Amino acid sequence: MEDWRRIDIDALDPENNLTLEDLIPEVEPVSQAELQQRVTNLRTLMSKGASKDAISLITEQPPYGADAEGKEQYLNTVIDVLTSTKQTEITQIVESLSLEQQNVLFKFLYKGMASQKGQQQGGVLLAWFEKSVEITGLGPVVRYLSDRRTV
Amino acid sequence: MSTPQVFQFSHTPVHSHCFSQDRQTLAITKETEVEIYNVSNPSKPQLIAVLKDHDKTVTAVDISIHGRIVTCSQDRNAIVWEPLSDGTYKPTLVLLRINRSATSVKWAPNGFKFAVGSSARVIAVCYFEQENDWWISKHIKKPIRSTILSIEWHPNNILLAAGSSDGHARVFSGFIKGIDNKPSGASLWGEKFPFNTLCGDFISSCGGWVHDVAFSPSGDVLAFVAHDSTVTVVYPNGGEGVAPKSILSVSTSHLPFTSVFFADENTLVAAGHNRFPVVFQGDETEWLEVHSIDDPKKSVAQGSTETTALNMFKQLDLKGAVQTGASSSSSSLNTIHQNTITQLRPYAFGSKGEVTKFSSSGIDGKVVIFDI
Repeated sequence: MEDWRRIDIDALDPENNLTLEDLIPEVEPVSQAELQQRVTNLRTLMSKGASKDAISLITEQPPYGADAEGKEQYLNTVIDVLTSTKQTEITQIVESLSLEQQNVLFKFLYKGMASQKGQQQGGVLLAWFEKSVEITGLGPVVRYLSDRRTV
Repeated sequence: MSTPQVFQFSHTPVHSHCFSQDRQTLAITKETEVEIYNVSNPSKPQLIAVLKDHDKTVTAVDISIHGRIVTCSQDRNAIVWEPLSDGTYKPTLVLLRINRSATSVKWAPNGFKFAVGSSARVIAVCYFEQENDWWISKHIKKPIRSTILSIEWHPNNILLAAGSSDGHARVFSGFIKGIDNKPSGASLWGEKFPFNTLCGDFISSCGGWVHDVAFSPSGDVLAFVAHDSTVTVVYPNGGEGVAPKSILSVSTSHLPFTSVFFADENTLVAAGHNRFPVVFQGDETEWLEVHSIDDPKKSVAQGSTETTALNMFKQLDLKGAVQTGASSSSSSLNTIHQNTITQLRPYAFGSKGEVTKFSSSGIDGKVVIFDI
C-alpha cells in the first residue's frame, strides 16, 4: 500500500503559507564589522582576566541578527571566554546576571555544546550548565527550547 | 487552609474537566469517552453517565450555565449533549467543517453559543439555528497561522481570545447576528465588532507557543501562558493597531504552564508541567510571582523536621540500591498531581466575586480542588 500518511496534504492549500520566517520575531541585523568590534572587546576583557565583565557583555547584546558565519565566529570567542573563566567564579557571575541575560547564557551554552570546539571543552560547558541551573531553575532551559531567536 | 480535595478516577489522562454550575456534577474526559459523575457526596463520586459517541481521544469538555455539555475530539467533531429528565444525555452532532482535530471548546458565558479551536487553523463559532434544528458554525480564519490550543470568552459574550501554536495570543470578535445584541459603543478592545474582527494580537517575550489564555473578570485584562515558562499580562487600550497600555511578562524558573485563570483583577493562578499551581499578583505597572500552592519544597521541609534515627538508617540503606515497586512511597512525587496539570477552572467564589477555590485536572487522572 502506498504510504499515504506521508503525503503532504497541505502542499496544495493556498492558505497554507506558514514559513519558518513567520515564526521568528523581528531582530535587528548585526553587521560583520560590528561583530568584529565586539570580538575584539571580548578578547581585551579576557586578557585582563575580567571574566565577569566579558560574560555580562556577551549576554547583554546577543547577535540574533548576524548571519550563520558571523554567529559561528562569535560563538568561538564566547567559548574561549567561558573556558578562561575560573570555575569558582561561575556561581557569582551567573547570580549577577539579569533574567534576560541568563536566558542568553543558556543559548550560548547549548549552541556551544553542539559545536565542534565546544565539544572539545565539554567538561567546562557542563560545569557552567550545572552551576547555572542550580541558580536559575529550569526556566531558561525551556526558554532556550522555545525561543526562535538564536545566537 | 483546608487540605485539597482529591478525586482519583483512573490512571488515564484527564485532558479536560468541568463542574456543572451547581458543582454537583463533574464531567471528565477519559480517552474516547466522557464520564459524568455525581459528586454531591465528594467522598463517594457516583458514575451517572458515559458519553460515548466520539471515536478518537476527547480533547475538551465544557458545561454551559443551562447544563448542556459540549465535547470535542480528535475525530474532528463536536457534540452537544442535552440532559434529559431520565438522567441520560441526547447527543447532537455539530457541523464544524474542519479537516483536523478539534483541540479546545468553551461555551460563551450566556450559554447560547460556543467556540471550538482546531488544528485546521480555524476557530468555529457555533450556535443553534432554530429553522434547521441544528448546531451550525461560522469560521474565524484570518490571520491564524497554526493550531489553536485554547479558547476563552470575554464576559460580554462577544469577544473571544485564542492561544495559538504560532506563538500569538489573539482576541477576535465572535459576534453572531440574531444571537447577540449589538455591543454598545467603544471599549478597551475597539469600537466596532463585526464577526472575525481582530481586536488584539500579542506575542510572548521569548516567542514560545501559547498554551492558554484568560480574561480577567471585568474582561479588561488578558493573560496568557506560553511554552517559554512565562506569564504575559496585557492591558489593552482600544483594539488592534493601538499600542496596549502595558504588556508585562513574568519569566519564571518553573517548567512551562499549560493553564491560567484570573482569581480577581490583580491575581492570576497558573499551572502546568511543573505539577503545582503558582499564584501571581500585580497591576498595570508590574506582575510578580507571589507563592505556590502545594509547593513540593515546603512538603520536603515538613518531612525533614521529623528526622529520626530510623529514617537516617533507612536513607543510608537506600544508597546505591535500585528502587523497585511502584508502591514504595519514595517513588511518588512531593506534589498532589503526579504529572502535568492539564486544566485549571474556578470552582467557588467569595463575596466580591473573587475565586476562593479552583479545580485542576492532570495527566495522572486526578481532579483536585484547591483553596487559593
